[in-house]
Amino acid sequence: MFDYKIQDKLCLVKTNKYKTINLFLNFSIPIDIHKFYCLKMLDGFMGEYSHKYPTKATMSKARDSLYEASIASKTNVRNNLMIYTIRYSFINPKFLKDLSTKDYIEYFKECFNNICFSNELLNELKTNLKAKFNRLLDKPTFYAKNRLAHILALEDKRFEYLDYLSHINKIDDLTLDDVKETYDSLLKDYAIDVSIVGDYDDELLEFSKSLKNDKRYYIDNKAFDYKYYGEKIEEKDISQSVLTMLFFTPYTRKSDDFFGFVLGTDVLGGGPTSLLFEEIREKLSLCYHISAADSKNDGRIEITTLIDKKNYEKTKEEILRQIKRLINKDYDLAKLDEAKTLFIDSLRAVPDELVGFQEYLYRNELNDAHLDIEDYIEGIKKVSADDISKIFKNAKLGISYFLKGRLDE
Amino acid sequence: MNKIYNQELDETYYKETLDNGLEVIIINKPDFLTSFAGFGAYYGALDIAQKYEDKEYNFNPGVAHFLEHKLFENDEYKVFESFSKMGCSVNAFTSLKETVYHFTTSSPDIEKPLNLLLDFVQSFNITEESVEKEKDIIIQEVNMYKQDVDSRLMEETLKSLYVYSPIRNDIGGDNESIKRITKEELELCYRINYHPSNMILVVVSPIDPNKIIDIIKKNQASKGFKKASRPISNNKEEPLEVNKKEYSFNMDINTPKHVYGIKLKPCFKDIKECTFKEWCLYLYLKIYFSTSNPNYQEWLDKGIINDYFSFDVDFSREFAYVLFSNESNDDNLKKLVDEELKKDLLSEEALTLCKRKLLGASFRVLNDIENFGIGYIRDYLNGYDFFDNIKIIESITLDDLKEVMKRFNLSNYSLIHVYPHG
Repeated sequence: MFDYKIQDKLCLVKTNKYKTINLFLNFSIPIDIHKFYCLKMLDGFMGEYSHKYPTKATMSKARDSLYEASIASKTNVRNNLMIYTIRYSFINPKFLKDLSTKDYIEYFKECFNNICFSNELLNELKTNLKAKFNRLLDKPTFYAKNRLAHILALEDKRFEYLDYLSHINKIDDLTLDDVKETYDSLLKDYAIDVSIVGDYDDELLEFSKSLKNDKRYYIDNKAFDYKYYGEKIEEKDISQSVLTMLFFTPYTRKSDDFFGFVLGTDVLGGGPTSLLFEEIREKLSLCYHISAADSKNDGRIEITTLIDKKNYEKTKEEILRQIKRLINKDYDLAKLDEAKTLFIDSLRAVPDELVGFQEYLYRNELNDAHLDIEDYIEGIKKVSADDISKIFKNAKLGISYFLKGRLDE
Repeated sequence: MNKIYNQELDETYYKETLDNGLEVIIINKPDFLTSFAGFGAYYGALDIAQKYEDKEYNFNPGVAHFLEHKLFENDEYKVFESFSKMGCSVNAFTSLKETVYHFTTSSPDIEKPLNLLLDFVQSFNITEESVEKEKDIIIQEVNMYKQDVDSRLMEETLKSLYVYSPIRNDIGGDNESIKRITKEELELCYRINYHPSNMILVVVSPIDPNKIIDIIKKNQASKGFKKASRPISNNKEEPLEVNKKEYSFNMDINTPKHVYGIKLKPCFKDIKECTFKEWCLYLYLKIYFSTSNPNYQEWLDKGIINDYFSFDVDFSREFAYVLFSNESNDDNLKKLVDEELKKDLLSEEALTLCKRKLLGASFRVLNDIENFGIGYIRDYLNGYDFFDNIKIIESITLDDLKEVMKRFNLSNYSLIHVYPHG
C-alpha cells in the first residue's frame, strides 16, 4: 500500500511500509532574525515541558509509556521564509497491545497546546542553546562556514541566520514574552501545512484537519546579487585547514536551467565520480574530503575541502581548473550520464524516505512549483553538456575563505 | 534458506550459510523501493595481531582501514564509476571489529550491483604506486578526525584506559604506521581476513529473497572458495588496571569537556552472555542517568550537566567499558556518578518504561532501509542479531540488573578533560 494526495494544505501519504505514524506541522513564516531565535527557544519547550508534565522526569515517563513517542521541532531558512516544522512520531498502535490512536492524540494535544513556559526553564534552554552553538563552532568546517556567513551578512541580511557566532550573546536578551508571542502567533498568523505519513486511521485524519490555517507564503526564489567579496584568510588553532569557495549563479528552482544547475553541481563535486573527487583527491591526493553543494532557492554553489595549508594555492587553482573543464566541456561525457543515472536513482528512492518525501511534497507547495518526481527525472534526463557549460559560464566566484590551521606543520 | 518470522516487529528474514562458509541474511521489505546490500568482514582495526593456520602475524595499526580504501581500486574497472552507471551509491567503513562495503539502489535490478559488490571485494588487484599515493589521502582523513574534539576526546579516553590493546590506536592508524604499510602487508591481511568464511552478506530488499539467494549462490560457486578456518585474535593480554588515571589536554574550543571512563572485564568466551550483560548495564544506567531519573532536572537547573551529558556502554570479547561524558566549567562528573549510584532508584515501573523506550527505538530503526541495513550488519558482526535483541531486552528482570550491578566495579577508571586554550 502506497498512495499520496495533497488537498487543501493537507498532505496524506498512506503507506504501511513504516512502523511509525508521523504527523508533520509545517509553518511558513517570513524571515525575521529575532523570530528565528525565538523559534530556536521554542524548540526547547516543544515536547519537553507541559503543564501536566512540567519536568524532564514526568515528560520522560509519559513519553516512554507511549514507546518513546517523540515531538521535535526545527527551523530551516529558505530565502525569504523560515520553515518551522513540528514532527510528531509514534509507533503504529497496531503493533502494540495496550495503546490506541486516541492516547497518542491526547499526548500531542497536551504537549502542543499546554506548553509550560517559565523563566526558570527559559534560562535552562538558553544555556543549552548556547552550548549547542558552541559545540557546532568547535567544528572547524562549521566555524569556517559561520565566518563566511558573517562576512556575507554584512551585505545581505539573508546570511544572518547562518552567523551563529554574532548572535550567540543575543540569546540572553530573549524574554519569555518574546517566545510566548512567537508561539501564540504560530497558529493564527502563519500558513500551516499538515502532513501525515504512515498507516494512519480516521481519528488522526480528523484531528489533523482541525489544525489547518488558510494563509500562505511562498518562497521567492530570488538569487543573490553577485558581489565579489575577495579572498579572506583567518587563522585558528587547528591542524588541518578549511577552504570554502562560494560561487553565485542566477539559477534557482524557478529557472528554466534549474535541472542543469543541480546536475552540473553534482558532476563538479557531488560524489566519488565527480571531477573534484577524482582530480583533487584521487589523482593529486590533496585532501580526503571535497564536495560541491548547491542551494536550490538562491543559486549558490559552495565548495568545501580540508587540506594542508601549504596546498592552499594549488587546491584553489585546481578547483577553478575543474570548473573551466565544465565550461569547455573538456571531460569524459560519460561522466554526465553516470551523474544522471545516480541522480535519477536517488530521486526514485525519495518515496522511501519518511521525512524526505514529506519535505519534497511540502517544498513543492512552498515553491508553488508542482514538480512530480517523474517530471524531475525527465528534467534531469534532458540536461546536456552545453547546459552545464552555460551554468558555469555564469557562475561567479563571490568569495574564497581560508581558515588556516596554526597547528598545521 | 531458513525463513524466520519476528512476530513482535512483524518482519520476515532468511538465513543461509553457503558451502564456502559465507553467511547470508536477507531481510524482506516488500513495501519499499530501495535495496541495500552490505558485505562485511569480521575484521577491523583491533586485528593487528592474529593467528591463522598456526602462524602468528603482526600488522601495522590502520592496515584494515587502508585495505578498505584500496579495495575500491581494480585494474579491470573503476568501482565507483561502475556503481554510478547502475545508479547505485556505494560506500564502505572500517570500525574496531568490522569492515563493511555497501550499496543502495532503487533499481529493481539488483543482480548487477550485487555481483559487482561481491566481485570487487573478492578481488585484490592493486599497484605499489597506488598504495603510496593513498597514504596522503588517508593521512588527511586521520587528521580530519584528530581535530574534531569529540573524536580526539574518545581517542585520549581509550589511550588512558588501555595499556596494550590496539583499541588505543586510531582506526586509521597514525602518520608513521600509515607510511610503513606496503602492498605486501595489505595482500597478506586480505588473504587472511577476506575469505567468505570470515564474512557475511546482508541484503535488505523488496525483491524476492529466492531470486537474491540464487544470484549470490551463482556468484560464489563460480569462485571456487573452499571452506576455511577463521583467523583468531592474538593481541597481548590486557590488564584490568588502567594506563593513566587522569589526563588533560587543550584544544581551540569553547567549553571544557570531561569523560569518566570505567574499564571492565570483557566477556572473553560467551558473546550471548556479553550481550545480556551489556543490555542489563545499559538499562540500569538508563534508569539512573537519563531524564527517567527525577534528579535529572535538578542537575540541569543547577548547571551540573547540560543537554550533552551522556553515557555509553560497550561490551565485547576484547574489551568492555562504560563512559560518562559531560560539558561543564567545573569537573564534578565522577562525584555525580558515584554518589548517584549509591542510591536505590530501581523499580519495576522504571524498568518497564526503559524497556518500552528501547522497543520503540527498535521499531523506528526499521523505517530507513540504509540505516537499518548498516546497523544490522554492524550488530551482527559484533556478535548479536537485532531481531534477537528484542527478546533479550524483554527477558531482563530487576534481579538481573541487580546481579550485574553487584559486579560493576568502579575502581579501574580514568578521568579525561579537554579545556579551551589559555
